[in-house]
Amino acid sequence: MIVSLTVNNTEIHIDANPNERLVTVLRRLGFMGVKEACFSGVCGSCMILINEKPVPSCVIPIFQARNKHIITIESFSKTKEYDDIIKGFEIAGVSMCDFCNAGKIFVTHALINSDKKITLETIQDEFSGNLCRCTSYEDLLKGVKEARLIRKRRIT
Amino acid sequence: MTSKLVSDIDIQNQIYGSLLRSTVQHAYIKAIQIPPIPKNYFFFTAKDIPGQNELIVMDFPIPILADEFVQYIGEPIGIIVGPDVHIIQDIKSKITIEYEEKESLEFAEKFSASQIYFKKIIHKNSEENEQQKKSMFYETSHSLGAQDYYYAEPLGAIATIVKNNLEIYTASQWPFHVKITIANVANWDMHSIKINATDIGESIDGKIWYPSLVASYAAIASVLTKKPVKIIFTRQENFLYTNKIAPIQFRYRTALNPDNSISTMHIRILINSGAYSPCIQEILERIMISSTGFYAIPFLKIEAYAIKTNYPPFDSQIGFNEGTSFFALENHITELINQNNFDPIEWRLQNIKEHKHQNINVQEEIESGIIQELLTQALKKSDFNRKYSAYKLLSKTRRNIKDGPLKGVAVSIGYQGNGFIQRAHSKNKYVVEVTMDIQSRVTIKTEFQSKQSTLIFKEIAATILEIDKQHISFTSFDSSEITRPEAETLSTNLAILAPLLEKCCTAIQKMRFREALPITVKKEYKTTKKTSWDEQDFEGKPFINISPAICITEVEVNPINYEPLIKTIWINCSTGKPYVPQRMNASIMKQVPIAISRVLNRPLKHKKGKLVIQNSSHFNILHPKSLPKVLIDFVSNNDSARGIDTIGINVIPASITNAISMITHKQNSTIPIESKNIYEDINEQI
Repeated sequence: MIVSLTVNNTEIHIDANPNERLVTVLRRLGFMGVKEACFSGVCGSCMILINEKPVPSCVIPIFQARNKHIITIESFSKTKEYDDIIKGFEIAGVSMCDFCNAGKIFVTHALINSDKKITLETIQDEFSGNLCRCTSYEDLLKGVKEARLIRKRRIT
Repeated sequence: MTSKLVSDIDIQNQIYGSLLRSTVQHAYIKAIQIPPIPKNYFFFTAKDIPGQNELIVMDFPIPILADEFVQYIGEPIGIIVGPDVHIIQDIKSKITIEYEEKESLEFAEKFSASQIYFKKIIHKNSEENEQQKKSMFYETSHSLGAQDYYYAEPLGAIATIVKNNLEIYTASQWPFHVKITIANVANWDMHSIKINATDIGESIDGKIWYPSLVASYAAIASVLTKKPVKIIFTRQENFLYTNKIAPIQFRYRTALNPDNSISTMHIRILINSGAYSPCIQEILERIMISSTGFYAIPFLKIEAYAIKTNYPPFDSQIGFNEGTSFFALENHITELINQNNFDPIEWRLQNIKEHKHQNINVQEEIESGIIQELLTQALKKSDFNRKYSAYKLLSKTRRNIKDGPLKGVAVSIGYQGNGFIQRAHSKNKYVVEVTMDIQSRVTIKTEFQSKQSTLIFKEIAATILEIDKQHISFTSFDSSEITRPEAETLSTNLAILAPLLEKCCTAIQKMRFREALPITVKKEYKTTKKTSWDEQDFEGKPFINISPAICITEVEVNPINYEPLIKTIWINCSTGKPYVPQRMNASIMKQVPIAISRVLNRPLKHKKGKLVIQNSSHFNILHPKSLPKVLIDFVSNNDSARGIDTIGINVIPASITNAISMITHKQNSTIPIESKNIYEDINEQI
């Protein structure tokens, strides 16, 4: 099955099995920042942005990605938005072991772009699809708050 | 952006490898029927190994590939190699193995002498007097089930030959061990082996020796085919057939003196070592050392046995299972306190001695009065005494499940032993080299993999040299220069490498405005063969230092589904010199979900020697919403830095289980705890 999709602003046409998951196809294309782990959407290691929304690519059958605009962590890491988050995380001491980075970063990106109040409850809700084994949620709360502050300062 | 994991690396012209595994628990291999193998595909067995068919850890050998007999389901027998993973699987499915099955060895209270994998028995003043012999003994038993590790990436390795150098890519806590193993297995000159350590992540549990085994398969295949070979376990393969945290059983028998102090303690420890457990000596000795905690015990006998069974290798958890001892010890002590109606704090303080005594004297390592100081602070912060009295009364007077909330609070005392016990037995060299270039950028050259250490070392260098953290980078010594022949632990990094780094940075800071840049300063720390730990008599100094800690936990059991909800955890620990205080809090916080999961996760279940798959990911790590409130305090001083990277795992499970015991009125003899057991215990009581 030929599927057309846009990955990191490049249009791609790929031949894939219809039952293949998007994560497997992306890794085959060389986007190794997308990690294969739980295959059930609970760990966040395979997170990508689809039309600006964070989505675990392990639960997306490839045919559902047809004509979608996908951003992976490889491309996002070259943006100023990414720098805001990393600086915020560094200040707060958020551990980054790199396996579920994509999940943490994309969820933070969506959260600080929203007008949601950032509290521990919000963090627990928003990161419920992110099984980070090395960061405490208190640190994540601080990190997200710092990142929002940095982004605000940069934009204004 | 993202660093390299071994599964992210592809090498030009690489082929893939997959392991043919045993399907039976214990058997002789009579014959292997191999189908016609397509061109460019290969099947290797133990007989094809260019070097020795063994991996050795701390003097314990295990076979790389099973040769004449298999000892557990999933034991590797052969390696199938080729360019297409689907064809490899097809070949694998067509290979048949004829076995002559034998009775499997199981883990039980009674075992034959031939099942003893390793044993250690120590007596301290075991000549008991007549009065002690007649004393009433308080006896409890405790057991811990097998559990899986928390890891990001399944195990894997890539081996490739580049200009006569054998290059290995793998994530290991112990690159030096990978190197010596490959040299032995692949029959390759040690100086021509290069280890490219890939990202290990922060959850480094279970990556001490197993990566050396996986790297051996890749190296054998690469040497024999002359091609780059990549072997990555699937998640299911990783779960089913690799090392797991060992099941352990404890039996404590304690007698008291007329003044209620401990007179005698007998401890029996049984560990299921599986078919192989190469770190067993370290595990067993650590468990034995920590099995008495800080309590003063004039007459002590500890018998510890590692029992060989036909299961995959059982291994240590973070902290080499010290936490399992504290769970058993503190639950035993709580039972003893409850039976005698003692005050839990007063009795503990009466029996903790902070001066040298005839016990395994880890007390020599800590500052006088520190346990009392930590305990007093934690009791005050948690309002322990009030809660304890209230919940005890509530629990005692309960006649119906509706009679007030099911609440409990408990204390546990423990420590983290820093560094390896075996560390003192070999000549180790630790080196840190710091260079400041003409643009005031700093490069730190040393041997470690953990991200946590990277963050801490950056903070130390940035603070001393007054530079931005962005201008600090790390480089490791070329693998031909590896001088650190032991596995990496964060506590060793903190206790040895951090002071060296501090010295290097301080020296550069003094010179940088007087002398021309670049400046390089190198500092070394060497351990000698002379050891201050007598492993025969269990006397002396087993660790670099220890970090004492107190944990208080408040638990409430849901009266509908009987699931325990951990409400609040208070941890108070002594850290020595606090290098980066903000990282210390984070370090303990990240242990909390792992420690709670150890107590509340569903246990791993085996059926006829094979693990039963329970869910797709096997990582039943606590959901963020279920995380309790955690309050951490530190007592610091200017002594050398102490590790705290396993302190939570060591002390939290004991206090949770004790708090649940307070609710159920029954000693918790087993972890993981299941809600059906809590239900039975509570209803039995009512």
